[in-house]
Amino acid sequence: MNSLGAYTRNRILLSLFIIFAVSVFAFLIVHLMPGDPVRAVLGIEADEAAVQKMREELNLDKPFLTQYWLWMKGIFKGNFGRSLTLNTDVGELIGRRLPVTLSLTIPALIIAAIFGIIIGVICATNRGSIADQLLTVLVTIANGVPIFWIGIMMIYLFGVLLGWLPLMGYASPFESFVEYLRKAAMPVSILAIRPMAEIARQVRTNMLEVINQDYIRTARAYGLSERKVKYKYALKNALIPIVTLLALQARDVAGGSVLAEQVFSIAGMGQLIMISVLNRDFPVIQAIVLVITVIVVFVNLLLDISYGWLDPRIRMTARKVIN
Amino acid sequence: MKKLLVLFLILVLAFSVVACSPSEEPGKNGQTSGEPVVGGTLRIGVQSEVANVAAWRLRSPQETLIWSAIYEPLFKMGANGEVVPYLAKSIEADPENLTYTVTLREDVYFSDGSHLDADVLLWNFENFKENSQIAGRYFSDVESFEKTGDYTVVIHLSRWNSQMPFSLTENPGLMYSKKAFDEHGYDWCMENPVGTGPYKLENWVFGESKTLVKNENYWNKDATVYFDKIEFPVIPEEMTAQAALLSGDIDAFYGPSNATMAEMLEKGGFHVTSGKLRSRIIFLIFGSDVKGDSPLEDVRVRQAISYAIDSEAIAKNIDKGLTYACRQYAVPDTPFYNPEIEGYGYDPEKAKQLLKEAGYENGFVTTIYVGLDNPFEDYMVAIQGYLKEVGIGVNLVYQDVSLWSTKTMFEIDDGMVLIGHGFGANLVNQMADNFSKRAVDGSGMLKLSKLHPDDLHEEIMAAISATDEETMYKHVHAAGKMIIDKYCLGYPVVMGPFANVLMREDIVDDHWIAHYSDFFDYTGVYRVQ
Repeated sequence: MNSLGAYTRNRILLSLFIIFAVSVFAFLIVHLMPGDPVRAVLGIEADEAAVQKMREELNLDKPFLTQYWLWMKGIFKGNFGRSLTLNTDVGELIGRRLPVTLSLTIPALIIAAIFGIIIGVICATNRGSIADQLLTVLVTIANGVPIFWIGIMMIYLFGVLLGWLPLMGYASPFESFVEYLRKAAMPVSILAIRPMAEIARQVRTNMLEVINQDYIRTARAYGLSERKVKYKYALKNALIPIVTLLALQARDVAGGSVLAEQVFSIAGMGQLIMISVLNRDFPVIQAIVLVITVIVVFVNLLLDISYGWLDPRIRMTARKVIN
Repeated sequence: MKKLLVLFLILVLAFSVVACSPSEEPGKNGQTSGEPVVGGTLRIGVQSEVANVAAWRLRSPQETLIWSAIYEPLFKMGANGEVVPYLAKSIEADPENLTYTVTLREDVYFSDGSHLDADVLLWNFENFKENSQIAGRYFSDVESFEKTGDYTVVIHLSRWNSQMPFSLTENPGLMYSKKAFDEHGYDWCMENPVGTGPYKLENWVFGESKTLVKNENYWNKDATVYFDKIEFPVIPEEMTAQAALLSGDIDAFYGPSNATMAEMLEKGGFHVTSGKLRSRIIFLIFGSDVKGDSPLEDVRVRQAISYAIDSEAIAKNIDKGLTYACRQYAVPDTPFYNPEIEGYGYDPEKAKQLLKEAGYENGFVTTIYVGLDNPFEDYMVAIQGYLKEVGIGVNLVYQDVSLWSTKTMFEIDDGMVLIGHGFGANLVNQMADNFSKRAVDGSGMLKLSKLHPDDLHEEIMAAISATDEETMYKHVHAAGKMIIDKYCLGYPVVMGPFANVLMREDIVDDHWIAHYSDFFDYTGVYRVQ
C-alpha cells in the first residue's frame, strides 16, 4: 500500500474509533446522571404502574450493557428511538430539523467569509484611514456584543418599528425562496456577524503581515503595480490561514444557532438541543451527539485526507509516527 | 474620527432606548367593547411544543389550552364551583350501592361524524383507566364500568368516592372518537386529536405551529364559533413574544411571566385574562427527617418559618401585584376555602420567639429544593433573605426536572420543597397526594417525611368518601385547618391565576377561560371591531 493509502486507512480507523468512543461517552453521561427521566416525562403525579410500564418500553429496566447494545442495534437499523418529551421518532425529528439549521448556518458562513474578507482587505489596504478606523471599531463591537441582544434589537427595529421583516418563524427555500429570504434575513445576519468580524480582523492582520514580507518588497522592486502586488500576491497568501479559521467559525455558528433559533422561534437543531437537554430527553441527546460527532469526524477526515493529498510532508509524518 | 465614533455610539444608544421604551400608542387596560367579528384567525403564542395529543394523555397546561378547542368534557364547573352537565346530561350518585350513573346528551357528535353514545363513553372510561398515566388519581376506587342503556354508563366503585363528579370535569371526562381509534389504532391517536369540540386539527408544523379550523359539524348549535381558524405558533423566547404582540403577529400569548405581563399592561393596548377557581399556588412544603433530629419536626419551628416570610411584599414586589398573599391551601371565593383558618401573617418577632421556645434561639441551617423548570429564583432568594433575618440559614438547591421528581418524591425527607401547582376542582385529590398517607403509598411529595399525620389522613379520606357535598366540604375545611393552623405542614407563599393569557385589547374573553373550569371554551372568545 502506498503512503497515501496507508495514511487514509489509518485516518478512517481512527475516525471509527472516535465515533465509537463518543457513542459510549454520550450513553454513559446521559444514563449515569442522577434522577429519573421517566418521571420527568410523565410528571410527579403519574402512577407508579405507568412509570414502570414506560421504563420497560424504554428498556431502562435492563442492564446497562444490554441497553447500550439495544441502542446501537437500533441505530444500525436506522432507529434512533423515540423522543420522550416530543413523543416522536428521533430520526424523523433530526431529519426534519437538521436541514433547517443548515439552511441558516451555511449562508451565514458564506456571508461571513465574503464580507469578512472584503472588510479585512479594505482595512489593511487603507491602514490608518477613517474607513479603517471606523470598520475596526465596528468589528470590535460586533465581536463583543451578545448575539442575543443583537437579535432582540433587530426584531424591534425591522419587525416591530419598521415592519419590514417577519420577526419569527421559518420557510423552506425549496417551498418559497422569497419567504425564506424574508424569514431567514435576521437569523442569518446575527449568525454571520461574529464570524464576519473575526474573519475581517484576521484578514487585516494577515494582510498587513504579508505586505511587510521580503517577497512583496521584491515584487514592488520588480515594478509590479501596487494593485497586482496587494491582490495577487499579498491577499492570496493572507487567505490561507482563513480556511482553518472558517472551520473554527463553523463550530461557533452552530453554537450560535441555539440562540438564534430560540430568539426567532425556529424549529431547528439548536432549539431541539435546548429542549432535549432541559428535559433530559436522553434518546434525542444521544442521537444528536452521535450525529454531530459523525458530521465533525467526517469533515475532519476529508480535510485530513485532502491535506495529506495536497502536502506529502503530512502523510509522510503520519506514516513515521504510526510505524 | 472621534466625532464619527461618538455619533455612532449615540445612534446605537438612541435606538436601544427607543426599542426598549414603552410604546406611546394610546391604549387601555381591559377589554374593548364592540361588535364581535365572525371569521378570521386567532393567533395564540405558546412557549413550547406539546408532547401529548390523545385525550387520555393530556398533562401540561399548554396541552389543555390547545386541545380544549378539540376535546370537551362530560361536565364543567359552574360559577359557584358546582358540577354542571355538558356532554353528559346528568350524574346520579348512589352511595349505598357504590355507583355513579352517567347519562349522556343524545345530540353530541365527533368531528369525524361519529356519535357519542354509551359504547363510546364506556370505551373512553376503560381506555383512560388502562392507558392514562394519571388514572390512579381519578379511578383508583373504580371497580368496573357498565353500559346500562344507549346513553347510560354506570361506574361501579370499590369504596365510595365523592370526587367522581369533579373528576369528570377534568381529564377523565374528555371524550375521544372511538371510531377514529378503531379505524387507525392507538399510535395514530397519540398524534391525531379527534373530539367533539368546535375546532379540528388542520395542519401541524412540528415545533413551529398548529392550525385548527372550525368543525363544521359542531354539535352545539346554540354556541357561536367566531374564528374560522386558530393558530398556535411556538415562541420559546418571551421577548420575541412581546415583540410579536406589539407588531400584531400574534393576538395573545399564553403563560407570560408576571414581569412581562406588568410591562405590557403598562404599555397599554393589552389585557390579561385568567381563570379563577383554577388558581396557581406557590407553596413551601415542610419535610421532617425520619430519624427525628430535624428542627422542622417541631411545629413551632415550622410556624416560625411561616411568620418570618412576608408574602404580601413578595406579591407586591416580585409579582408586581399579579398574585396575592393567601393564608391557606385553597382558593378564596370557592367552596373549598375555610374562612376560619387563621394562617400566619408577617411577624418576625413572633418567629424569633417561637424559635427560642423550640430551642433554636441561635438558628439552624436547612435546605429548600426547587425544580429548575420553575421560575422561582426570586421567591427562593426572598425566602432565604427573610429566614436569615430570624437566624435560619437556607441552602438553595436547584434541580433538573428528572432529578427534582425523584428527589422530592422519594429521597428528600428533611428540608423544604418549593412547589407551584394549579388546583381547582381536584383540590381534594391534591390534598391527598401531598399531605395524606396516600402521598406515601402513591404519587405525592416527600414520601419519606414523617409529616403525614394520622388524623389529617383520616380527615382527607373522609372528604373523599363523603356521600354529600356538605359533609365533603366540612371535612375539606377541617383538613385545610389542620394543614395550616394545627400542623403547619406548609406555607402558602402566594396565590395567583393559573391560566394567564396576555391579549391584545381587541380580543375579548367572554367565557373562553371558563373561570371555574380546567378547560378553555373557544366559543367564548372573539375579536371586536
